[in-house]
Amino acid sequence: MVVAALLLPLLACTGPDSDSLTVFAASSLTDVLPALADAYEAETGIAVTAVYGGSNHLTGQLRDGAPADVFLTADARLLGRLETRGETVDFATNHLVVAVPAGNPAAVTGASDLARADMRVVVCAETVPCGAATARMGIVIEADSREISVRAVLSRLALGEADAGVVYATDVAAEPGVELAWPQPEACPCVVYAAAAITDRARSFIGFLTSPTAQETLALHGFSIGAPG
Amino acid sequence: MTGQVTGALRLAGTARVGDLVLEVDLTVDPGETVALLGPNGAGKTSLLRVLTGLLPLSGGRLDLAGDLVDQPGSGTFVEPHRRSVGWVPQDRLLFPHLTVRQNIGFSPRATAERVTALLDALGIAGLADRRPSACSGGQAQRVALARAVAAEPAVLLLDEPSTALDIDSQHLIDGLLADGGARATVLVTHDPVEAATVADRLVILEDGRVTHSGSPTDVRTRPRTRYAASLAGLNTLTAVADGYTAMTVGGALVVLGEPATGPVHLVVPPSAVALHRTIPDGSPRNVWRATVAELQPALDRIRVVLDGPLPLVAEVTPGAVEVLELEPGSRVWAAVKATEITVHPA
Amino acid sequence: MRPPRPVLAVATVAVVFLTLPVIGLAQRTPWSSLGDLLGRQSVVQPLVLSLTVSVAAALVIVVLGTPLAWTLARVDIPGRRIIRALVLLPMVLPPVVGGTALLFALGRRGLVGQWLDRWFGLTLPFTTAGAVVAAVFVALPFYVIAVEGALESGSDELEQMAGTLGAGPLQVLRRITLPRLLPAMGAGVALAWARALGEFGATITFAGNLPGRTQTLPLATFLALESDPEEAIALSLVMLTVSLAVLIPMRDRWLPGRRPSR
Repeated sequence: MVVAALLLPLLACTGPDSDSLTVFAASSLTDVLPALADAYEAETGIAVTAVYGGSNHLTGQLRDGAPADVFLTADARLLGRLETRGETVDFATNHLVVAVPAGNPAAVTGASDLARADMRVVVCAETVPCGAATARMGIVIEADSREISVRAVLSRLALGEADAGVVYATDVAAEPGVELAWPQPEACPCVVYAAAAITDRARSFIGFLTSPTAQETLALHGFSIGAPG
Repeated sequence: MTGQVTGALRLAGTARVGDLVLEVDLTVDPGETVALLGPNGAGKTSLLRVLTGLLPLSGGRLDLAGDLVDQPGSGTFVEPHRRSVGWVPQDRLLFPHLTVRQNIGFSPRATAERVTALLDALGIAGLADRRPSACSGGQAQRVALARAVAAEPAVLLLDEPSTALDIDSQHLIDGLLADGGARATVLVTHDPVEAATVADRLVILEDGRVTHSGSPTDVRTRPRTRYAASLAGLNTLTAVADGYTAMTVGGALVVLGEPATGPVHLVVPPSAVALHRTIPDGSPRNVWRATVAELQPALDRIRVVLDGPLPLVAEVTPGAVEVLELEPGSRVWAAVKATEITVHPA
Repeated sequence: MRPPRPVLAVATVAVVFLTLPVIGLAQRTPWSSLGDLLGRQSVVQPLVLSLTVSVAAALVIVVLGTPLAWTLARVDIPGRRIIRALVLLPMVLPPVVGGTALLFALGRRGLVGQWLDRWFGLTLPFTTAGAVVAAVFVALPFYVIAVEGALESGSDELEQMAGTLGAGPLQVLRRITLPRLLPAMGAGVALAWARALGEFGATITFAGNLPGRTQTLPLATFLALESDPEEAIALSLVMLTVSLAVLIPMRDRWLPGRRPSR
């Protein structure tokens, strides 16, 4: 008991720090958030600490009291389970594409290939936003694995373990090890990224996300900005 | 190479264990039992390990049952499992996961009939299906011995077999040893009584070397080292006890300090034998007439070998020899207090 | 001996610490609908797969681990300490890293995996065999430690004794070494099996996640936590029950100091 009493305050209390914000972000924002954070810090002097994960997983952590100021989710419906401050802002959209390892070794040419038994296809598990969106795409996929995050799908493709996979358009732009399986139009189902403040201190960051600087950065990384199409 | 090798066991070689260097010349004939005596750390157990093959020689050669089994010079080394040696280590090393019967029959050379015969001969048939953990010390010793002889080895090695042994077990084991046929036996012991009663020959090992090898009488009467003198100089008399008295094989009546019944060995330290020119009076109740056969200087003492109804050796100071005017042929009275005599069941 | 109070007190704290989460789980369990939950295909399928994978892994571990433990304990090989450290590496390596390392080695483009694929058409990721490989990788050290420890502490005097009785090296191994090693092997298998049953990180990174093929109980539980917490609790209870059902009798039977003494 004595030991526990000594340890608990150390473990539980990290204390609020006015010079930094903790942002919980959907894993598909991994490539863009550092650039956004840099721009935000240059503007306000407030540093951003990012924690990435599946949106559902992060929601669970926030519900259990994880110390975050901002939540950037790929599924706005998840916010219904949380207590947030102020307005929720949709700040970007993304869309799903079929991607293959660079060079397309399995010669995937169309959606019909994704139903082939000899083809190794990986997608997101249906419990995470990219997986839910994949299910709405309307193509038949014989998946060999349902990964717990879109980054895991991306890594399967980059390592050449899978022949094809469904990832975000932004992932294809960011990861040199993968490419579009075939030219695909910017078609929905789309993922809409929503930002919510968990603490009052975070409101300025929410506002920043719709600023021209932030929107430009998002567009640069392949996100669509403005209202979803 | 010499072609003709005699003996069940012929060793002339060296081996190293830590700081100890064994340098031993030892031959044991078929059917012969040799008792190996020596102070702690003299290398007795290591010598047995050389014979089993668990400790390879670093020089010289070892022949067992006429076959060369270890000769580093020629690169010859026969693995333990190909040697005809039965080993009963001091801690017995029974296999705890096997029954008594499986232990005794462990050797691929042991037959089922032989195992059954041994179980009966050693009185452990009732334990056949028990584990060694269910055996008493004496029973475990019998199992270990039966296991070693079940393979009918040419050489049997016993390391302190009588340690903490009950009398029944001792009798059964002695019986089995006496019935060894052509088997040669090497018996490590610290008990001079056991050595003198069981062995045909005593070998004294000190600091890795054999310092004396001879019959029990030879070692007793002509010890060559202080250790041998202290150990083998003890008088051992065979007698039949009946209460507080015992009759020796020589026909002398001995009064005992403790009651005993049946065949016994009486052990009398030479220093406890007092010599007198005239019959002593007072407490000693064991007084015998004797003739001085021989006087031997033994370091700072003189050992007086006596003839008479009791073949005793007395140990006295040079001064006493002068006062008593002892010389071969002198007639003396030998007196021993009953309390100085220790009685061992035979 | 009267047990010293401070020791008992700390021991009590430790037991409470270990059982509290289990009590938490039990307290959140929807007992009324549990029967329905347990009958679901989404619970039964991962259970069957987990049992298959963990038992297969345990078998592979005994076959691979026993000679390895024997060699580490008994053979004077150069660099033995380094080899031992390498063998224990999976115990400290985060399982996800272990799974990634397995991909680099045995994946379709991996060091060895590319040749397996090219020559035999054999690929491990996304297969049940791959899940077994991941489980073996993380659980093997537990078995090796248990068995190696027993081989070191149990002196080889009995084996020498058997040798002097005419048993050759293989006979000694079969009739003395292995039978005497059984308790340690049992304990090692129990530990390794339990570790394999609970394996998550290496499995999901190396073998992937597909119901019926690679989605073991821990994977199913993790995913259910986000979509259907009640099912996740049911899955956890199944895992807990299966482990206890196997480990409690095993402990009585195999672990040293627990055997009836005469």
